[in-house]
Amino acid sequence: MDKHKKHLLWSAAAFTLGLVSMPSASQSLSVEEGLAIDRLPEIRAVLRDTLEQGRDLIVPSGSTKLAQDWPNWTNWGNG
Amino acid sequence: MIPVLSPERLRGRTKLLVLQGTPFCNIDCTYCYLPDRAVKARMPVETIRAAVRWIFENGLGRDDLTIIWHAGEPLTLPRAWYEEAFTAARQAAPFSWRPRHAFQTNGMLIDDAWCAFFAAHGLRVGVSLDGPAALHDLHRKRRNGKGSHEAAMHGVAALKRNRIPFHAICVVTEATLARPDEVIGFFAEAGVTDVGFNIEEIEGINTGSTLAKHGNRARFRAFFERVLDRAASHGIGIREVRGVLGAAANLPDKEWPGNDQNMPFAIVTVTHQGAIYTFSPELAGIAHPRLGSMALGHVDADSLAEIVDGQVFQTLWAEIASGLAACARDCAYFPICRGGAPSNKLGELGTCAGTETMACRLGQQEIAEAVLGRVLNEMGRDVVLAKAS
Ligand code: SF4
Repeated sequence: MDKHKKHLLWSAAAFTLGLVSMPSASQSLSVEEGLAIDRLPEIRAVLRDTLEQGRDLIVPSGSTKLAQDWPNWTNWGNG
Repeated sequence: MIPVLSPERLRGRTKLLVLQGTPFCNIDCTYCYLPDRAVKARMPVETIRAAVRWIFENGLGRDDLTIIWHAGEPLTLPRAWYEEAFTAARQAAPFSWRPRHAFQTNGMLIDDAWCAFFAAHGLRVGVSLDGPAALHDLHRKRRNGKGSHEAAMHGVAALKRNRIPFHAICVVTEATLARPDEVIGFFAEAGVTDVGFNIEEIEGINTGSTLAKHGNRARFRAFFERVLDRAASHGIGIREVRGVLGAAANLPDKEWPGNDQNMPFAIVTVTHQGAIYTFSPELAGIAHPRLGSMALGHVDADSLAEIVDGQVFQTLWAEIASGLAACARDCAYFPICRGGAPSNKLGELGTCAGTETMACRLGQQEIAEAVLGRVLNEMGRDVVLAKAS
């Protein structure tokens, strides 16, 4: 098969189940009442607004020069 | 229907290349997941060249690709070796690559000479510090059983003295949970301004976690809430907060829905022998009872197209993708976590196709609740202020 034309086969699961039509948090059966995650759409709107206005985020965000410059610290593994 | 993806869709997807300069580590942490940490081998410079060339020739590399030297203690190799390694990487990459190298180190060997080297090369440095000595030395032990905190703090002092910016990674174990004030107080006193908390995970050859006990979920939540309070008052940035806020502000990308650990080739790990891995870096070098080795190929022998067509990648990706899909379907925290880490799922559930793990309940769900809860509190206050004015 021509390598340049060959398509990579991807598992059906990732792109046909759930990922294309993501459930809203409030539809999830695993969520109890009163969890912050249930209000994610509202939170998202506020965060986007804050970012667009160039205002500081309201909780300690680690948004120092170092963190911005290298967003991908080793967030895996034990130490 | 089986969706197809042209090789173009993997173009420029690799953000991070983990190179295992050596598997050797000068200490022997009780929670370490690295199987070959007593092996004093060294990656041949030719293999470095081949690894970087493999990334770019297969179209995965991007101009801001970071190379992190990890999966062993990087500072046990001499600076002269890194000089050669950086030159080899530079020569193998296209001219447009802006060299970015990073070290994740236990800090014990850092001295003024290493600091001069970090500064000369603009290296990014992360130091593994579990807090004050009483916590750090519980798990971060030398081979003779003694602790490593004192030596690590000498390294931190050298970094401060030489004004080298760095961050700390703190592994949270059960013993940490009772001591958030001491942990943040320690980082404040040490002058550390950026901290990431990795929870003690069950993965690789580390088959248990002190956190895996009834009641520790609530204790972890209380710990993290307190960490947020104390960090705010000391002006310390917490990596997890930034991660949650960044994810919360953006909807998952339908074309690329997962995270760096569960989407193919976002992270590529190459062992000192030249074996290629992707997904969670901890999958490198382990022999799983069911899956065997998860090495996808070798930098000298296999193209990306051959690897993606191969049995190992297809088996692993089928499992990981179905775990990702199950997370997206069933978990409210998916928009923040984006499907968890295959290494945690494999370590705890025996399959990457599962969903919830202890690691995600603590490291994703409770952290998301703590951070988003604070945003909600602030929003409530804003609403009250708006009404009053
Ligand atoms: S929090 Fe756990 S269950 Fe939810 S998406 Fe992440 S890994 Fe999956």
